[in-house]
Amino acid sequence: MADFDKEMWQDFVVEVQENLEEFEPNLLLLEQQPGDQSILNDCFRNMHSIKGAANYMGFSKMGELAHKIENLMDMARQGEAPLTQQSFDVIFQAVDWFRKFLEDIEKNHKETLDVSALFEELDALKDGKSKVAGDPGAVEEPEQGAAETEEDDELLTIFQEEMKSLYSQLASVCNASEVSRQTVVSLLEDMERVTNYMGHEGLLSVISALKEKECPDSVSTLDEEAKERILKDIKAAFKDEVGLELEEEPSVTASEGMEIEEDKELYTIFLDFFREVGLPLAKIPEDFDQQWAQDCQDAIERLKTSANYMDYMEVVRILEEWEERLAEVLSSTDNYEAETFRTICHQLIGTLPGLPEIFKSFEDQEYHKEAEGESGAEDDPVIDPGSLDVIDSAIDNLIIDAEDETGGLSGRTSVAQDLNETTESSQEADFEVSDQGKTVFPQAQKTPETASVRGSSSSRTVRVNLEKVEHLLEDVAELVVLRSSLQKDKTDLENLYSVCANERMLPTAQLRQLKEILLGVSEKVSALERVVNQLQDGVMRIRMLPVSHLFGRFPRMVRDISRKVHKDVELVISGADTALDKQIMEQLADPLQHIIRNAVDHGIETPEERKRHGKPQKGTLSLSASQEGNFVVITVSDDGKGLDRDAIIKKASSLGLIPPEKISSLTESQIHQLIFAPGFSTAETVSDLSGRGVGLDVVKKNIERIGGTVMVRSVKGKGTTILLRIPLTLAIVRGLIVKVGHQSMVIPVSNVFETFRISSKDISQIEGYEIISRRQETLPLIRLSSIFRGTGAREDNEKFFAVRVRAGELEACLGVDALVGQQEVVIKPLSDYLMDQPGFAGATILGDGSIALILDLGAVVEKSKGFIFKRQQILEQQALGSGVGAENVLH
Amino acid sequence: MLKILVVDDSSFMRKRLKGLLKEAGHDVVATARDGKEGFELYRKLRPDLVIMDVTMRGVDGIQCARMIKEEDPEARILFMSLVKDPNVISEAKNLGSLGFIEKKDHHRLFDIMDKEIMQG
Repeated sequence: MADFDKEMWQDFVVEVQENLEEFEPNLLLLEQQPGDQSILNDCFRNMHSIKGAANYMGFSKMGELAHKIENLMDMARQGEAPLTQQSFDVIFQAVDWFRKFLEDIEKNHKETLDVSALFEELDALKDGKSKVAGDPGAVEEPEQGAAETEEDDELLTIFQEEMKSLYSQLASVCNASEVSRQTVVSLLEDMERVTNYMGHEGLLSVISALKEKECPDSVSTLDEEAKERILKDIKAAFKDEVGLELEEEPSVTASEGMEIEEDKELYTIFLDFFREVGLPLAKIPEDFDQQWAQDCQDAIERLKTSANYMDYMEVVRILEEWEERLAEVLSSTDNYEAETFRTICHQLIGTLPGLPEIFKSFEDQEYHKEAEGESGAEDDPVIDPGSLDVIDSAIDNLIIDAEDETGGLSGRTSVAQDLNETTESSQEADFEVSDQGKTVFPQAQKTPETASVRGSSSSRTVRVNLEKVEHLLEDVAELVVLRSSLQKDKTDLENLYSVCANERMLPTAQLRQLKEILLGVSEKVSALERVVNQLQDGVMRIRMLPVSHLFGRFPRMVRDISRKVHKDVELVISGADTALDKQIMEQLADPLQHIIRNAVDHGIETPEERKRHGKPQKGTLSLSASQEGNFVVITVSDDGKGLDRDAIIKKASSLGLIPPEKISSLTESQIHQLIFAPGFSTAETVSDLSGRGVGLDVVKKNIERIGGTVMVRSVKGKGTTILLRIPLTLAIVRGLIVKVGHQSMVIPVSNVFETFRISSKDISQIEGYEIISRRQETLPLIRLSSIFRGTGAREDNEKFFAVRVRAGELEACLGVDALVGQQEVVIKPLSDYLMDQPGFAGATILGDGSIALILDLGAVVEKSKGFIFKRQQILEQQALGSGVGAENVLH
Repeated sequence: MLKILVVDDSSFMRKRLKGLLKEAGHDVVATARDGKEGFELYRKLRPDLVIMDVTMRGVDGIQCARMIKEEDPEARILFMSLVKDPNVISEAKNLGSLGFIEKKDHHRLFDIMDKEIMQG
């Protein structure tokens, strides 16, 4: 595509993806209930839409792919050939191919992939079905010849139809009393042409002979006998040669012939229309007449459209010829010959059986040059220029009506919005109203018997560029900042007032006035606060999408994996409409995929094994989401064999993850939690254990990186549940604001365990690391002032504060100069050069306008890693019962 | 300039059609993604022309056209679909529509519109 239209392409991608997002889960449902008409219809429509869009874009392979699947769906829908397991496999593959094509075209701007193998498979499915449907002809044809024969058949059909049409015209021409030689000759020549093309020599010679013998140049009209002979001979020759009857159908083409019966009414309407406007065509003047030519043009124009619509292609063709001739003579009137037009007129009369009569009636009519037809046409679709105004005023009325009903302004806005929505008014930039409800999985999974995936819920959504939302969020953040500083001003004002009041610095009247103002300000400040909070919340919600976007991919995945490992697994999804920040959702995809794969691969037993244990053969894997405060909890729960406690302990101790003496004191859940330990995943024969080891440490790390937590619950023999607790959003965190020197820093509250005051005598040293003892635990102390330079903080403070934080597996105390308070902060990404600097996750602007850096705890605490190793040794010594406390060892 | 209602279940086609029509100086007063919506919008807006898809969820294009014609026999409806089923096409014509064009033949749209509606 030379003119690769980016915007159009984006629309196309969205269209295809949306359809696939519906199609794929529907296909899964369909696999469970292959005959379900409504799902079949939906699937059909998805492919139909993709086909339409692909054809529009000129992506023929994608279009054909969609077309082939659409065919399969249609056959299944019509009950001709139900979809087999094999069909499903191929169609699923095809879905993947659509996605490959999107990538391919994105990169190359055209289709470069070779899908012939897939096409063959799809065709084989279709043919396989036609065999079932009892089409022995198709079966016997050898593969290669089949296509050719098909083509020939098509040609033959075209030929027959054309001959029939020409013959019918000839017959109806011959029905008229006066038949011009030229009309017949031109029809015969047409017949020669098509016959010659098909190579029917016998027929060809008959036609040629008839033309010469019966239509000599000397005559201008044919007599009855000649006409009869022509008709008879051609009919006979056609039967000999082609083996089919040529019938005198009262229509123009064969295909119309079939329709003519049911279209009788329409046909009459057409004739009436012809009677109305066709007069100029009958009144061919001997000498050229400008007015006549124009009237003809008008008449032809209108007749052509109707004929087009009626599919009277021959009529259209003749009218077009007339039009052309007219154009010719209009450009040079000297060339006008009435005879030319009379010939065409004769041809026209011959096309439809009703026309001779009409033309006869024209003979009695006076031709008024003032083009009378114009006024007579009833269903004449003229646009009344006023009609547009009518619509406008109708819309206005509509709005006013609504106002009346709802009594005021709100009515107006709601209707206006409504109109805006429906018109997809995209004038204000790239707001694009997408109409597909974005919820891919409404309640469908809960009641799979009845529902198809896209329910009839017609939730309207607006698709907005994420960047815009981000800008909006930034603006909101500014607003939050302004609000905070306003609050500070208010406090200052209040203080000033108390001073004035106490010191009696102002007269009472003015003092009262000041108090009133102050009251107003503080009222407004709190109102502002409420609105800003709502606004902030609202904008945050825009960034959120239902988790169905994330869950949507899993049914297919579970299907594929379970087929591969020969297990029978049903995936039950609930809470798919729970909203979650889009960015977080993206981060969640991989970890969740991992967990689910593990559950199917290792958690759920084979059908035989399940049977042995008295469980239903079909395993159930449930995936659910729900919101709990500022968190979304996602659970992946299977009814498989559960975690094997002993195996985990064995593996963990062999890896040195737990000291042997500690084993007995470990709780069940602590043991289970071990599967997330770093290194555990490196165990080779994981599936010998409960199989839950593969890369789970990575999963945990990823979840924790977005501020979430992972938990596992398991009962041996009953199943395993993994719980993910994910913050609703990444963009706003509740932060503990601390001071390091003059610099404000933000520590995400979710990571803060406690804060306390310490003095330098509480600090010990080990191998260069500072440590403190807290609640019988020894923790590393990280002085932020020593990590981040340039804060102006003194490093040798006698007394300062410690913030005990947990980042993943690691715990540490951060030394800060002061605690400021808690506040929700909007995270702004740092500019690139700062991104290279580990330790900061972003920045935010505080109420007083100053900038605070948000700590990336993972990176900060990492610095204490060396200590962890030491602590391990200390714990071991403690455990060995040396009788010495950790502190003593360290001193 | 015509006031046009586009009824099509594909957002892609709606957008394209809207673009084409706008470029040609028409006013797409509304778009609908299924027959039900199409009918409602027709009633509300009374456009000069409806460009109608056939395959749609729920109320399809044929049903929608029938409803519109019942409501307003003068309604001008132009079908635009990939459907090749002759039954569907003749049905569409029986409903008194202006025509039935294939989606990829969208240029014909203007031929028909020009001839059928713009002139008279």
